[in-house]
Amino acid sequence: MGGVVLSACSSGSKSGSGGSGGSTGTTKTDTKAGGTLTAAEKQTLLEMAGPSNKSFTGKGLTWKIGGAFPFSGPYQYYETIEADGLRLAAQHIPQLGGPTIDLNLQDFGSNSGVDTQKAVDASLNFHDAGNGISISGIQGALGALIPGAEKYKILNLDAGAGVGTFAGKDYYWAMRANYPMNNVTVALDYIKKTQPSARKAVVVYNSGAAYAPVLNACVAATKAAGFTVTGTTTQPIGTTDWSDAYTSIQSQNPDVILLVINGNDCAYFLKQFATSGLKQPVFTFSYSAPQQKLAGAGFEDIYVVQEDFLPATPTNEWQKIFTKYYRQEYKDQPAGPSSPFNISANYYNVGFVLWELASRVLANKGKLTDGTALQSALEDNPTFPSIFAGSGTTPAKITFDKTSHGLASCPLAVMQIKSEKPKLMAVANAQGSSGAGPLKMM
Amino acid sequence: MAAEVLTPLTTTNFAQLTANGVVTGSSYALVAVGFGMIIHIAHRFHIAYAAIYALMAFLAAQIQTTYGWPFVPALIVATVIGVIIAVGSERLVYSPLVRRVGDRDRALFPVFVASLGLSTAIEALINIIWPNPVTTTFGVSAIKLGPVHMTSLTVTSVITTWVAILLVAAVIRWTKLGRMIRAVRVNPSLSVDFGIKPSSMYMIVFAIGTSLGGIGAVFLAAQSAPESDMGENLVLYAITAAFIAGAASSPWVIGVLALAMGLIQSWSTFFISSTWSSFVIFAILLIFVMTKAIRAVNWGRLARGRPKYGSGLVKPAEPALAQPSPEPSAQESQQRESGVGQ
Amino acid sequence: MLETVSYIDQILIYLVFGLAANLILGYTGVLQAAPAAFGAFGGYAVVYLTSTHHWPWILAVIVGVAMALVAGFLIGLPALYLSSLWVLLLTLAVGLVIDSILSGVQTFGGDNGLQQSSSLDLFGFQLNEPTQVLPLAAVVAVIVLAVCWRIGESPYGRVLRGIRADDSAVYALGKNVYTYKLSMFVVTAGLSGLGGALLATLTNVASPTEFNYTASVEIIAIVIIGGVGNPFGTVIGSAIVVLLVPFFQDVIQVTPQTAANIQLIGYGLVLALVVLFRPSGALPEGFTISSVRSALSRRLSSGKQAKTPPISEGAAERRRARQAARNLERVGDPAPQGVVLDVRDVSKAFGGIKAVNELSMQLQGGKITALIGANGAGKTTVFNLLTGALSLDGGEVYLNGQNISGLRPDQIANLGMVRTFQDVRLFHGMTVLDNVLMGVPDQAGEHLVPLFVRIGKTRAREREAQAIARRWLEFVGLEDFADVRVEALGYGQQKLVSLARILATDARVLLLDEPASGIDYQFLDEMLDVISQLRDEGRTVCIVEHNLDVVGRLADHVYFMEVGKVTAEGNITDLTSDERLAEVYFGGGS
Repeated sequence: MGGVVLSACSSGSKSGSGGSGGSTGTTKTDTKAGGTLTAAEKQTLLEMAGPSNKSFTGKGLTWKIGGAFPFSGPYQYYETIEADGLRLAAQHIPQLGGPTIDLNLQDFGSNSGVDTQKAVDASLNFHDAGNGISISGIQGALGALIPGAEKYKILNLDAGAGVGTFAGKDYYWAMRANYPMNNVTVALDYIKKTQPSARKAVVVYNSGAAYAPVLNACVAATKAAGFTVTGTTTQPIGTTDWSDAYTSIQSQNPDVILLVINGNDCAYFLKQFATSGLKQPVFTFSYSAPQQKLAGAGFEDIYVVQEDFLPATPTNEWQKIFTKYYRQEYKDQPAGPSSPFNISANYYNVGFVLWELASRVLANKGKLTDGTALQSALEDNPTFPSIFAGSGTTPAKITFDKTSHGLASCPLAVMQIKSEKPKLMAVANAQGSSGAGPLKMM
Repeated sequence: MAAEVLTPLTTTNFAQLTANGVVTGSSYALVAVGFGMIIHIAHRFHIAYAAIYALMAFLAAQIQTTYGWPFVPALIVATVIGVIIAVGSERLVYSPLVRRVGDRDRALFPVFVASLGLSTAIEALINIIWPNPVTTTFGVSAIKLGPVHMTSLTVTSVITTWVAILLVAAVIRWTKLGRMIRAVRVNPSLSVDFGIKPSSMYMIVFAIGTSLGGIGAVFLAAQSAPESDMGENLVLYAITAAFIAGAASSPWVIGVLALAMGLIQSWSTFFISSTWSSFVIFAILLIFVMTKAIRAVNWGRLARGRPKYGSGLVKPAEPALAQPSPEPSAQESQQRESGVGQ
Repeated sequence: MLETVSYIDQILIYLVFGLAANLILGYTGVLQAAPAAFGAFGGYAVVYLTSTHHWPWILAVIVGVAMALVAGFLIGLPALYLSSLWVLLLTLAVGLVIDSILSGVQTFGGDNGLQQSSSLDLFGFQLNEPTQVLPLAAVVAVIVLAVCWRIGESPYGRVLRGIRADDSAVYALGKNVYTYKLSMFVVTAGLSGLGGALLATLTNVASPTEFNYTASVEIIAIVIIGGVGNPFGTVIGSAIVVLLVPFFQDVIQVTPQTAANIQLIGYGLVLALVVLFRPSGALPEGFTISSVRSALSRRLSSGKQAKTPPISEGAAERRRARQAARNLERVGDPAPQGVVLDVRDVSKAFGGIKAVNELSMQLQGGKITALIGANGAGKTTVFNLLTGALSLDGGEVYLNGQNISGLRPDQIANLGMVRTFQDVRLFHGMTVLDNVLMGVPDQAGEHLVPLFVRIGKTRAREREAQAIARRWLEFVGLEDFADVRVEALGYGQQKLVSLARILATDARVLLLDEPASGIDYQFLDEMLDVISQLRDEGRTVCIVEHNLDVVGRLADHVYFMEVGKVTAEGNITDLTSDERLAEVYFGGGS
């Protein structure tokens, strides 16, 4: 299957699609696309994120990497947000002396959830294409990619979510903080410092069996932080009208609102929030340019706790380079001070994690198509440079948890949205399943 | 188990959830009346209604953002385009299909399948044209009625909804056009004798039905944003309302039923998790049809040879059909095929 | 490689779904809108029982299929009493409710579904890879294809097609339509359950999206695109629908990201265009390898097809032939004496209008009785009441002394009273011979068990049935038209076919609804001749007729009906000479 090679176009074709290159199927890296890095930028990237063992860079090799994203259906814009970060990394790494990266991108649809069949076929495609590793979104395509990853020993990295209900599944790893529990803890730490009188919190999340474990974990994290949980307010994923939720919140009369819902749902909640009669401070854990565009002024004064990344005011050189080339390359995406967004940055970061893994595998005389070797390379030393936080040319670190396969440690930030721009309020490091390091006020 | 907490049943909450239910129910009502007219009068299982609904919402949003048009003109232009597509599918797809099959009731399923195809295609087309969300602008301000919070947008949409529905109901009830539409609903072939062209009536019905949807879609999208699948559940709810109301009922009856469904959904959050809010409606549909089915079973006949009087295999006609009918067999075949509205 | 194999697996698995759906949708014409939903029983049973409870795969499949069968039975039991629109709605609602339950219940994993966590095997054969599933899927698909083909090509399939064309006409021929529909509904549910089990075995996941509304639409698309009522067409339909994905993705390398959506557009448009321009699908019904072969051989042997003679020619020969055929006819019971059918005070009202009001009449054995009256007098309603097509509001009907009030039409037909329809109601899309075969009683092939268990008997009985049907076609002079589709015949010929069809039932009481109306002058004599011969054979005949000349030539006794009541009886001369009746009859109509 697969086989025909498409070259990614450099002109940022306005085909009405968000991404610049690569249909489903294999995409060979065109070094010209993604912009040509300057010598200084190359130097910086290599220093901050290049492989720790400089003798094994994989130069001259072609590395086939699978990618599963929603190319169709209502959530297809996630494909743009996520895969574009990965594409950019795939275009930069060869310029830095790394392997040529062949992205084998597959669709899993997003009509009424995830098209299970398509997700399953995607993992078979990865197997057929000899992908030892694949990158995915929407939590392992809601689990449908996981049996394939286990069966065919394809290391699967999901950089869009925490491990959620799939913690500890072999070959399935998620490169975010234990989302959203870590984020909730950081938010509560911040509330304790800034609004000491606030003691009661409501957790707003998706209703439904699939989301109950995460909801329960958020409630537990809130209680652990010493707060009273007034209750939970839940609506089905994909809800556009949140008025019933406001009623539920109103009746609970909490001091703060922990808004755990994601994406459009979160944007719609906030869009309607201003006229709901509710006045409590809201902490959300999902903020991006498309959401900002959807909710507009609805985001005013809302707190956001997510990865420490403000594209308008990059704290480190890696972020600067990423932001520069991302904006240059993906012009047709919702722009603004909040673009690119932390998820895109995370998928860019994934590319460099992969490069490090490749270097380790090559040093052990292993093969890049061997998912088991890649997984043990990850387990050998689960700490990697992070694009988030850090300063100058010193990156912060992320560390995977070998048991849960999510991140045990990851830099997070508390931001407040002012005039459609995020303002950094505090930073902290997510630790463990729901803990957080000391909060540093900005 | 899930730690989902239900909203406690207090007077304030009840008032607020009732208001919410009225808002949601009104958006259901527009689709129910629009879709209901098309299924009941033109007998087209026009499932692509959902896709055209979403398309109109996207068009209106795009017109507002690209050209900076105000809300109302954008709504009108988007609706006109939606109407053209809907009437076009009636002219180019449904009506030729019915002509070929020869009978609008027997053509029901082919029309349903063709409409499913159109629906899939239009939704995918929307996703190609609008890969990223499109925003709408509507100056929203909060309105407080006693303990109940509403917004200028929702109040406007509720008022517009019911004005539109009552207007359509009035047209059908009291105007010449309405009489013609009713005649076509009851018996299209007979209405030809009175100089009514069923095909024109069907197109008018498609136009009115789609316009109602356009209003609903654009208002709904203004509350959040257009999404390619925004009409899907609404059409399923519309099916529920339209069939429970019955073919012969006035648009406002269908509308009120849809409103009731919105209220039931809203109130149901007092008792069960919101996960089940669409289930509640589908269960109503299932129970309604199942009850109808169980009533239709002649249990005496099921047990072989036990004579019993009761409903027969041929359903009695609704009175409108049983009026002076020159051909007993024509009358009977009408009964046999229709099944609607009993 | 594995993905390719997986696509083949999917074609085979969706073939199982498609074949099942084709039985109910294609052959029987029952609008089952949620064929995928029943697959959920099989799919979830496999993943849940093997992963959570470590059941053997085969047991889990059996339980899943059994649950699908039970669900199909419980839903079908009342549902099939509804008209097609309501069946469509009901099944739609069932699909949506099943989907909501799967998404909402913790045990089923909600939107995430259930992931297979244990290795699967069938008697030691691993089922963990698409390559390992392939032989199993192929065997199952071939068996299901064979079963569906057998059903479709058999007398059973003939009845199903008849039901699709006109179910009340099938009832009137003594076949319990409801049982057929219910059987097919249940079989479809069970086979869908099997398909769902295979699908979950292939994907290792049981999730709502595999069995939701969209999945049902795909299955319906397979049936429609492949060809309604043609199992081999379903193979093509399944291949097209499954391969659309890789076709757009890998063969036509469309621009970025649009690939997935273009595929959906393509699939949607194909569906709409097929319905619009090629309603019979890729392979039309009846288009099979054997039909092609026989058509070819016919063409080769005879050069060109024998021309069917126009019916108007050779009436005299046909009359002689009929005479001969009659002599061959089994000697029936001697003409029964006295009252064969006794109708006592029957009534029927439609929404307050009394169409039949305490009507009484009697049919004398071996005689022709006519029921006349102005349009709207309720004559056809009387036939509907006598044959059980309508239930009685009051009164009783005795056939040969047995109270038949409240019996179903098929029961009444089997007791020896059948009817024709004013609007003929032949089974369109079927040949003349098949139409008449529908009337032949006691066909082993019309029941599922003998169809698969007693194949020899089925075949032998089918030969007998064919002989009977051909003999009756000869009787009405249409033997040369046996293989012609009925809709190609003229109206008069169609009426003769409908007569042959009820004669094939061997019933002794015949109710003929306007046998002479709309017939060309040239056929009239033929028709009257046939009917009077039936009387001579000892059959009891009742006709509803407008043409008083016909009534005069045939009827031994005449009932005159006015607004639901018999107001006069006697012979035709007596009745027509009554001025008041003539006024009612001729004046009332215009």
